[in-house]
Amino acid sequence: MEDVVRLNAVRKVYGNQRTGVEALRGVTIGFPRGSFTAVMGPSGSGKSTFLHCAAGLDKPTSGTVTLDGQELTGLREKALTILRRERIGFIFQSFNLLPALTVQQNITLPLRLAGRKPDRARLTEVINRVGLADRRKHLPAELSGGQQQRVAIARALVTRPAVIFADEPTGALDTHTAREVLDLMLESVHRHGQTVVMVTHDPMAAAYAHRVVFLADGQLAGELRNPTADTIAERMTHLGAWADRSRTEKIGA
Amino acid sequence: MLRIGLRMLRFRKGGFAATFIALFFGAALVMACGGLLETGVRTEVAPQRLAEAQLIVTGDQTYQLPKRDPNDEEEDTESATLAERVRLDRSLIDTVRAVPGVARAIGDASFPIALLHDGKPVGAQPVGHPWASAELAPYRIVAGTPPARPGEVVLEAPAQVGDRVDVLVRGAPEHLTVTGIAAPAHPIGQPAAFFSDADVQRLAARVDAIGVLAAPGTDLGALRDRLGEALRGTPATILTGTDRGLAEFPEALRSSEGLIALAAVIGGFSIMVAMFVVASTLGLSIQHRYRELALLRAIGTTPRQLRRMVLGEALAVSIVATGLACVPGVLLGGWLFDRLAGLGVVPGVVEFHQGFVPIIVGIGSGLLTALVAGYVAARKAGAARPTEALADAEIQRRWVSPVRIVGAALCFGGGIALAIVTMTVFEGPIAASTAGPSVMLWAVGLAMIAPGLTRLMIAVLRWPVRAVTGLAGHLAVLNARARTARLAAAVTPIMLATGIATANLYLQTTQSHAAEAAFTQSLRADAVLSSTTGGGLAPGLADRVRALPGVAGASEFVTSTGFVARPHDDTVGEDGWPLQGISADGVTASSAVEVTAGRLTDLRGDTVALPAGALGRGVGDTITLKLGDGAVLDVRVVALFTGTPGFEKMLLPVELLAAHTTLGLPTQILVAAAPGAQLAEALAGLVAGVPGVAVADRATLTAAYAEQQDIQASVNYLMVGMIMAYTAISVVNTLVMATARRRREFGLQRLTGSTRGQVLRMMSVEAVLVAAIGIVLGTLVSTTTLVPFSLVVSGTPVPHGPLWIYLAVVGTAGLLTMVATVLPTWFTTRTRPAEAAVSA
Repeated sequence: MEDVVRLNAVRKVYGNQRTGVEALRGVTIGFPRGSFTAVMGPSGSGKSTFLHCAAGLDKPTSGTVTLDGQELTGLREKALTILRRERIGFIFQSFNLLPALTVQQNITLPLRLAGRKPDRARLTEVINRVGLADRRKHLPAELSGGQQQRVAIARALVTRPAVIFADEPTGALDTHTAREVLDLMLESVHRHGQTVVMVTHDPMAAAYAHRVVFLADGQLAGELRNPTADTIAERMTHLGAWADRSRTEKIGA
Repeated sequence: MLRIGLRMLRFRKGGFAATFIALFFGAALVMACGGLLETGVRTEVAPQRLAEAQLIVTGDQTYQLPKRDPNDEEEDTESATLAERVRLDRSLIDTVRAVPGVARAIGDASFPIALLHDGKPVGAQPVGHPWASAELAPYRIVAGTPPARPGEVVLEAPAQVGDRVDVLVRGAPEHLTVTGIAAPAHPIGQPAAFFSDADVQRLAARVDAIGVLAAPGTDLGALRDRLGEALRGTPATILTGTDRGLAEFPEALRSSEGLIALAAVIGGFSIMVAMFVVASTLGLSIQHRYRELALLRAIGTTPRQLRRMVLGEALAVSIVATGLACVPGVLLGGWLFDRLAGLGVVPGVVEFHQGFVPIIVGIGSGLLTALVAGYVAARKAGAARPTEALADAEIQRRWVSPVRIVGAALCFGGGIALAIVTMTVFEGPIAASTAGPSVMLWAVGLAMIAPGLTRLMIAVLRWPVRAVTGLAGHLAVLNARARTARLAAAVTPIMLATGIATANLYLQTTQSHAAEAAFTQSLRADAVLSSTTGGGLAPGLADRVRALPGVAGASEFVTSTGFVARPHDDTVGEDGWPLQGISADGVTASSAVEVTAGRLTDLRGDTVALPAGALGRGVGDTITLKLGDGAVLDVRVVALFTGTPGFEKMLLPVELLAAHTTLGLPTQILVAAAPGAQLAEALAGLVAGVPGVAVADRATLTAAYAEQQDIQASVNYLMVGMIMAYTAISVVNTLVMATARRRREFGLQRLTGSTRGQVLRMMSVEAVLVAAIGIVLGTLVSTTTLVPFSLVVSGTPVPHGPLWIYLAVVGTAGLLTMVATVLPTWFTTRTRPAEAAVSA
């Protein structure tokens, strides 16, 4: 299957080359169209950096990132921004809605930024899909956490992006609400062929994905297909121990 | 994008309140100054006594300073206002009358007189005029007849026909008979006394103005042109419409110059402060919304769109703020004008004008301020990095950047250049003219590197603060170190307020002190006789003083201002040279100058004494002076003396100079006592027989001079006070905004076990820290201005003035900071901590 997002030997060093921290150490991976992938790893494994680089929020130190056939490396900030606006949807942990805008205004914001008039039918469809038809005119502060995250999903969906990146989308939600949000994401993958890449540390959330990719110490550390919460949890435990060991070895050497 | 911006603006009203307030008061201040400026430029004085004349021919009070090279078309001409009344020859009345379209041409003159009761002048004194001019008001005879012969006078009520009155004219008493009582058709500011033509020709050889009554149906514009043609080559000018009042109140012109300068300086200062403050409040609001901006970037807002949004917000706020500022702007303008008129800076007869121009300038400057400040803030907003939206913590930005360092270096370079210019080019009080820009340059420079400086200061203050205040101090220092940029934003307005206040106040005290010192130094007299009626001293009085026992010398004294027409002189500009008229006979009594060449006793006829080195002329050379009344005179240099830098003057024979003043007479007689002699009694005895003359000793004179200086000082204090009030508002503004924003942080702190008292204590320590840093930097700013100025004016680096001024400034800054920090903390911690912690 064709890869919507492809990372090729991506390295990312924060600070200068000598004393800097190497957050990603040569990651090569692809995400096929219509797939739902979870990226997991212990704290400090480079999950966030991975997401930033894949989504064009940050520039890799070396290596290339291709999105929907478009090479990101070398794009200027403005071109990158426009690409993000049109081809990528974002869902964050802390909802990140603009408190001043209503539900509807938040959802249509990426379209307005692009100078496009929101298509009424599309808007209605998206709002119905996330089940907020009766909340259009509300402000984020008047919604529950789950509802706010659903607004964020609608905002990510509205531009029909090539890929949606989600950063701990259930991190701030209770189990029940988290399930609703994950179901919604899964549905957009199954019904509408959406591609989703989700960074999480919650095995329950990761179990919704078709595939789980593990990161440890800035490198890929295996993957699981059609995972369950249990197999993921087990792998994570090993991964933690493995990462600890590899770190100790490095210090010893 | 703008709609989103406006929507966010409506939502975050609080964050923009500070910007709004800064723009609102800034624009109001600029409008008020604009009003004063417009008033000064127009100088509209309603005609009173000459109201009936459609056109008034009067002496031209302006003087075009000669150019360095008369053939140079490029060089700008500077114009100055002459200090004395420029009078016209009586023959011009006939010239005017002969112009077609002129029905009547009536000569007018004014001379001060004093009605005496029991040999003493009392009450509001009338001004003498020719009877012919009465119809220009018009005055009507309500009883008796007009004055026809010498010794006859017409007065206003309550005098009665047939009264015999003693009147002091030109310093000498005369007996007059009241032949009639006149009343004006409309209220006139000063009472009048009308004299017969014979008397007027004796008392006023020339006319002040010629009132023109046009023949019915004459086109006034055309008549004006014809008059201009007829009067070509004479020192006359033609006034029409609202300018006509200037013929009666020529002093309004000169005061207008002062008003224009004052308003321009304060208005300019306000704009600079406003830009500074608005840039810092906008910057603060950007800092507070940083995550929101980063989020917008992440979901696809280009930096350009963000910049446009921030700029749009700033403009929207400024449109509302400056629009509303029109109301206080107009009120403040009127209020300031009344204060200035009360202090005697402007004659009350000048009409206050605040048309649409000052309003537009105020609004325009407000918008411009917002645009410039908004641009700075927008640049910061555009640099928001999208990944920071995903990070949970507020991230501390770099605390010093190359752009800031370069900016600061430029400002400091400018500041140092100004200090050098002040010390090498200027002499005396005009050195103050570089003070305003200098303070701003240093302040902006320091503000640029404020985050870095703040960090440094915190490092220095860390240990003492911790030692004294314990845990609260420890937390405050940690906070301060973690968020230097935020702290620096609070420090800058305090620095500005302290710097401006200290610099301006001590500038004034140093200047007053230097002026007083120069005056005391140059005054040798032991006693001074002065005219109490403002009518001048009669000739011959000086001789009577000299004849008294114990008098070593007595000199008549008069002051004026003049210009040097030849050789070319660019030392004094439009302010002109202070001229002093003294008697060669009593020169030892009057002047403490140290003669280096020639003799002051040679000051007779058309002669002058110059400060050594001035104009490059020596004894025996001739220079051409343009005197206060417009007369051009060749005078021979007979002496050179050592001048006080910055207080240079020329000395002329009193007879010569007095003849070219408005009054035409000396106003004082300076008396020196013989060694050991007591003069008081003898002088008191002499004065008792001369009405309208008082005697004062040295201390009284010095005190009177100091009082005069105080009036000037209070004008400056009034204007500096406006700026300071404005800066103080900004300080409070910024601090309240910065503190109220930390609601969540306080909530979290209390959830982790801090009591409300501990939070308040922590914030108090932080306030002390902010105030201390701001005050230290502000003092630095004022020092950079005051030291060069003091070196120039008084030769020491230490400015002159009481210490309490500085203590008061520091105390006020400290108190403001404390209140503006602790009070909002107290308010924001009123809610339960859990509530505060969740609502961001």
